[in-house]
Order: sequence, then structure tokens, then C-alpha cells
Amino acid sequence: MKKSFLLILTLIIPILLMAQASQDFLRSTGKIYSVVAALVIMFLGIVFYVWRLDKKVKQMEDDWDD
Amino acid sequence: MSWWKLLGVLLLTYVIIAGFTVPLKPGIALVSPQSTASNSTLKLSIEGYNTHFESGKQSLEAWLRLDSIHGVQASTITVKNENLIEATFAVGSIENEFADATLYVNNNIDKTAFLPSAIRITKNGDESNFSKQLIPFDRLSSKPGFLFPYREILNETIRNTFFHVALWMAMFALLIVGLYNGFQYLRTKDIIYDSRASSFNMIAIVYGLLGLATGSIWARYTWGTWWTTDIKLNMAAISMLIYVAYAILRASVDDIDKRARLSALYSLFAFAAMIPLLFVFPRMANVISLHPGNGGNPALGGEDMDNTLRMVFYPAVIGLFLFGRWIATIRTRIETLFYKKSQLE
Amino acid sequence: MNPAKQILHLLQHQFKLESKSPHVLAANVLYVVTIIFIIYRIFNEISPPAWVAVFWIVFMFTTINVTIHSYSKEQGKSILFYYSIMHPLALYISRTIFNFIVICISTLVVYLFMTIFLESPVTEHNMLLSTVALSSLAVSIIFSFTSAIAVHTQIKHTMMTLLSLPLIIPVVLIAVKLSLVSVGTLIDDGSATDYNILIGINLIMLGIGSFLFPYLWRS
Repeated sequence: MKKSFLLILTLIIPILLMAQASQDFLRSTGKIYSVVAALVIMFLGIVFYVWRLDKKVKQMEDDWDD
Repeated sequence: MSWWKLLGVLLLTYVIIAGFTVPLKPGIALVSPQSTASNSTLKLSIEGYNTHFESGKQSLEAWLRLDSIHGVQASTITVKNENLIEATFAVGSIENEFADATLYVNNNIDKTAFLPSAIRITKNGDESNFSKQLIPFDRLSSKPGFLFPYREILNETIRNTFFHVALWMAMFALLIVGLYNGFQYLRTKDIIYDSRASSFNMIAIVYGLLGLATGSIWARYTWGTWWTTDIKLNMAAISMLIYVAYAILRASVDDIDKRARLSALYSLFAFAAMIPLLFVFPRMANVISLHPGNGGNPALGGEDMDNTLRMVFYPAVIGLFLFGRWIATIRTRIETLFYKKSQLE
Repeated sequence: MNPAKQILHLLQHQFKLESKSPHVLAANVLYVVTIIFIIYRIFNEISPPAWVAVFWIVFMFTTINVTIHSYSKEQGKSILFYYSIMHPLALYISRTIFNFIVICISTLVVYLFMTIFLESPVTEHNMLLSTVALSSLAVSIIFSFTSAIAVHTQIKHTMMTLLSLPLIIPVVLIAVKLSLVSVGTLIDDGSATDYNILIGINLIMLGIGSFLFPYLWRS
């Protein structure tokens, strides 16, 4: 869990940095792109969790073969 | 494929499409100057959002409301473009020391766009013969149709309601399912309940962390900081700490039955400890919160939600819950296979 | 044996265990004195809000330390015997009472040394006393449960801290607020509500703890 938390952080930080760098872009058109950023984070977070599940299944498959 | 998985995905698709494509109602983004004195002529430049000042030029009118029913109408309006006008008001005398005047701009395409407390008018001694008129409230109306409300500062980020707020609500629903299964495990000692409980709790933790992350971005572009001292934010963060402790507890016990028992007990006990955090502190009268529903019901209510928002928000909560349930079910099945395998060995 | 007798018996047993190792008590007092001395050297003079903050932080860590010590002693064979013949509720209640007494004593020690080194700004002693008593009770109810969970894991001490600290945050938050009133930094408005919440937390946690504790020992 600790590892996964760190990995989530590493996923989020680039987006935050991007947000920092292009604040004016994220603020344009009534700040709509900050909503896009929120949706992207949500998607990536869920994808990350699914990826972890995938790893779990793979581990079991490998165990099965042994 | 079970019907609810499809339903969840369809609902989320609808939420993303409707959440991003439904336009906002016309609104007023900015006026300048923002203060003036009474008994003077005021030249106000008004910046609209999603407005059609140029196209609705013929029927354009602007009002400044000075008290509950009276106001002044703009004597001349110069249209610069669709979203920018300049209006001249002859502001009359006011009763109190100052008045926070609400601005209404009306035309037949946008109907009424308004900005509460747009301008602060301070009393300027002498009486004069500028006369106040009754505001024609029967002519002012909100633009009909499926449109999200316009709020200053929030602007388009009001759409975050469907993602950030819905994530929290879905997280709660998933946590409660997890708790129920934890309790069922203690009662029956059937390991399937533990797989379910842990799976629902894990996806709830993921939702909770994502809720913090999305909330942080929203806060950056509306309140100006990534993190605030806001009570609800901090209480939510503490609850997440508790659930991270839960995840670590699970990771540190190897024996399956012991792990199931300890984690079910801790999740139930911790939930009881979270009751004051989530349901008592935010409701206390002297607590100041930036979140909606201060000092009363911390959930969304009244003015903060309108019917068009609800038509996307509720599907978002249900869709996220069903989607989370799907992921939790997959994890449950994996856990069950692990268990069966350990039984074989 | 009836439950009251069981509780008394268990308490006696715990105090006997405690008296066998007086060095644990000495170690805890040293721990408290060291922390407070460092704070005294850093601040020399301290404002009332800072005094309250230091007091509760020292309180949190001392209580955790004390509780862990008393629990890790119970790994011997004799305690297994007790667990097999006593009612689980009696165990939970006796643990809570024992922890409560120990936590109260250690808090008194903390208060004593904080008064010696950093003059106490407390004006309403009754208020601080009742706050300390109520929050010690809540903390001991919570710790008795979490330590019983932590004892089953491989990393007992870390797990104990990890499981307990987030749970006592609400208690400490209210206690800090009430203490700020007792030193005169905050105006007394609605401290009755705070007391009620504190009592409410005590009742809820005791209720859910007594309900769940038997499941812990069922296997």
C-alpha cells in the first residue's frame, strides 16, 4: 500500500508540475482545463489500481505454472 | 456480463459527455470599477460569459439593484462585442451607509445574467433628484433549457461536482458495503466476506485518494491554494490516514484467518472513531468551511445544487459506485482464487 | 467468578506485573523529563497556546509509550491461561481501567514537569482536569482495543502507533480546544458542547469496543 501510494504520487506530480507551468492555459475558457486535469487524474488513478490488480493475477499465473 | 456493470459504464459515459458538453448559463464575469459613490454618474464596463450582447442588442437592458425592489436602469449601453458592453447609470441616493448593488443584464437571447454584489455604492452626503425605479422582475428570467448555472469564480469548474464530489459520495457507499461485509465475516467466519470487505475498502481508499487529488486541483483554481485549513478537507485526510493504516495492517499479517479477523475488527472500530470526524465536527456551528453547507448539513443542499446539476450528479455517483463495485468484484474473485490455491497446497 | 470479581482479579494481576518491573516506570518518567527539558531549553518562556500544544503532544506520545510497555509484557504463558478462563469483556474493561490509571498518572507527571520547567498558564484548573480525565478515558478505551489488535501482528510497536494515532486525533482536537479555554486564550463559548462530544466519543468507543472485543478472542 505504501508503495502504491508513492506511485500514485509520482503519477500526480508531473500533472501538478504541468499545471504550474501552464497556469494561464488551465485558467483559460472559464478554467475548463482544470476540470479536464481532475478527470485525467481520476482516470489515471483507476488505471493504476487496475494495473496493480493485473500484476496480482500475473503473480498467481506464475505460481500456478511452478 | 451483469446488467449493473453495463449500467455503470453507460452512466459514466453519459456523465462525461453531459458533464463536458452542456454549456453554462450566460453570466457576468467581471465589472469595473467595483465601487462608486451615490448620486453620481457611473460608467460601468461589463464582461459577460457565454453571453450574446451583440446579437441581442435590440432588447438589451441593464439594471443595478439598490434595495430589495428598487434600482436604476442604464441610460445608455454601448455594445463592444458579444461579451463586452459599457453601461452608464445615474446612481441615485441610497438609504444606508453603503449598498452592495446587484447587476442584471437582460436581453431576449440570454435572458437575465446577473452578478450579486457587483458594485459597492457608498453614501455621498447630498440628496438629489435622481429617482429610483421599480425593477421589472417579471421581465427578468433565467435562460431556459438544459444548462448548468453560472457562478462567479467557479465558472466552468462547477463541472467538478460530477467528478470530485461524486467520488466522495461513491467512496462512502463503497465503504459502507465494505463495513457490512466485514461484519458479516465476524459473524459467519466465511472467508468470502473478507475478500469482499477488503476489496470494497481498497477501491474506496483509491477513490478517497483521488477525491483528495481532484479536490486539490479544484481548490488551486478557485480558492488559490492546493491545500487549505478547511475542516472538511482535513477531516477527510484524517479518515484516509485511518484507512491507509487499515491497508498496512492487512499487509503485515500473513495468516489468512487472522488477517481477516483483525482487519474486520479494525475497520469497524475505526469507523466508529470516524463518526465525530465526519458527522459532528463539520456540523458544529462555529466552524468555518469553504465547502458548501456551512454550520449545518455538510452535504450539498439548497442553493449549491440546482436541478440540471442533479441530473448529472446523481448518475455520476451511481455510475462511480457501480464501476467501483465492478473493480471490487474482480479483486474479490482474485482473492478467492488465491484462497482456494492456498487450500490446495 | 462473576464479571466484577474477574475484572478486579485481572487488575490485581496487571498491577503485580507492573510492580515487578519498576524500571519501566522510571524509563517513562525519564522520557517525559527529557522531552520537556529540551522544550524548555528551546523556548525558555512559552506562550499559553504553545504550552497547550506541547502538553498535548507530549501527552499523545507518552500515553502510546506507556501502553505499549504494559502490553508487551503480557506475552508470557500466564496471560494465555487468563484469556482462556476469563470473559473477554472482563479482559477489555480491566485493560481499559488499568490503562486509564496509568495514563492519568503519566499525565500528572507530564503536568508536574511542565509546571516546574515552563510555568503553567492554566487559570481554570477544574476545566483542564476534567478535560484530561475525559480524554484519558477515551484514549485508554481506544488503546486497549488497538493494542489488542497490534499484538497479533509481526511489527507490534509500529502497528500500535500506526493504528492508534489517527483514531485519537478527534479526542486530542477537542481536548486542545478545551485546554485553550482553560488557559484563557479562547473565549468560553460552547465548551458544554465540546464536553458532550467528548463524553459521546467515550460512550461510542466503549460500546463498539465491548461489542467487538469478544470477536477478537473467539478463535
